[in-house]
Amino acid sequence: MGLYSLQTMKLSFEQICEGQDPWIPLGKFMHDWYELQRDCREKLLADPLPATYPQEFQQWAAFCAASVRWFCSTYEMQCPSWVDNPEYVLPEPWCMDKLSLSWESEQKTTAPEFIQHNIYCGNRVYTNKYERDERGLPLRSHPVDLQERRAVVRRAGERLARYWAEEDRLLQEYLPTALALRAAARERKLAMQ
Amino acid sequence: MREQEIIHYLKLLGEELEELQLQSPVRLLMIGGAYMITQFGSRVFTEDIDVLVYLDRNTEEYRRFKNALRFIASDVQESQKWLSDTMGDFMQEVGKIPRGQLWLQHGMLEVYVPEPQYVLVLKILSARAKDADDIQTLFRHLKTRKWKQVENLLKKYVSRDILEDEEFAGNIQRVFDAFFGSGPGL
Repeated sequence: MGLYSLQTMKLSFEQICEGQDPWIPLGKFMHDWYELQRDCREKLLADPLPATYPQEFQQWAAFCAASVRWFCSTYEMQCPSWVDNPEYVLPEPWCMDKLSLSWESEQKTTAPEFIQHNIYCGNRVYTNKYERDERGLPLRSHPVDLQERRAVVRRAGERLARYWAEEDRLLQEYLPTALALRAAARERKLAMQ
Repeated sequence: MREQEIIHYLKLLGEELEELQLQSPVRLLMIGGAYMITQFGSRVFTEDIDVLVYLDRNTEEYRRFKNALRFIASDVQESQKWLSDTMGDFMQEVGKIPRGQLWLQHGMLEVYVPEPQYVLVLKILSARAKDADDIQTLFRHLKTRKWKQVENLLKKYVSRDILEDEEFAGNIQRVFDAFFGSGPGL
C-alpha cells in the first residue's frame, strides 16, 4: 500500500501492464471518476499512455484509448488528442465480453467510440454502482446512441451530485465530534499504559 | 487489496468504531470481490470491499461509521473507497437479503457473509464482462448443472419487479446463453 494517487487512465494501463487484473485498476479509475475525483475529471484522462509497452497489451492499450474517447463524449468533455494515435486502432476486431450473446448483438450494443478502435465490448462495460435510474437502481447499460446516453448520464449525474452533497454535508458536520471522540479514546488508552 | 489487507483493514475498522464509542457492534454483510477472495480464494485482488451496512443512514451511528472509514483511509493511505456501502440500496431493492454467517468479529464490528447462492444471484443480475469468472467459479462450487437450479435461486432471492425488468431479464438471458446455451459452457 502507498500514498493514494490519482487513478488516471495512464496509471490504470501501467498497472495492467504490470500484470494486475485489468478490472482492478479500471475499477479504481471508476471510483475516482464517479466519486473521489469527480471535480477534476480532465486530469484522469489527460496523460497519454506510455509510448512503449509490451506488445501483448496492445488490446488493452486500445481499450484504454477507446475508453477515454467514450468517457469524453458521454460526459461531454474535450477529448485529448493522444487517443487519435492510429496505434490504438486494433488490426483485428476484439470481442472482449465473455458474456456476449452473439457477435451480432455485440456489434449492435457497442458504442461507436469503441468500434472506432475495433473493440466490441457491449453497452455495459462501464456500468457502475454510482449511476442510478429514477427508481434508484444502478444503470444496467449505457445507451449506444450518444444523445440518449448523454441524457441518461446527465440525469444520473444530477441524482448522484445530490447524494454526494448530502453525504458530504452529514460527514463534515459530524467530523469535529468524531475527531474529539477519537482523541479522547486515545488519551484514555495512553493513560492506561 | 489482497486477503490480508481486507482482514487487516476490517479489524482496524472494528477498533476505530470502538474508539468512536459505538454502543453496539456494527454489522456488515460482505459481497463482491472481497467475498470471492476471502471465501473462495478465486481471485487475488479487489479494488474495494462491498458491503451492506445494517445502519440507518440518518443516524449518528452511521456518521460515526463513515467517519471511521475516512480515518482508516487516511491512516493507511488507502483510497477513501476502500469499503463501499453503495450496493446496499440495490441489495434491498433486489429482494430477500440472507442473514449470513458471522465470518469476522473484531472490536465493534461484525462481518457476515451470505451463502454463495446469493452472491451468484447478484452477479447474474449484474452480468458484466468482469463478472464472468466469478459466475463460473460459483456455478462450479454450487455444482450447478441445470438452468432450473438457477431459476430457483432467482425466484428465492429476487423480487418479481426486478425479474420483470427488461434489462435485468436481458442480463439473466446473457448468463443463460453464455453458460447453458450456445456459449462457452461450464
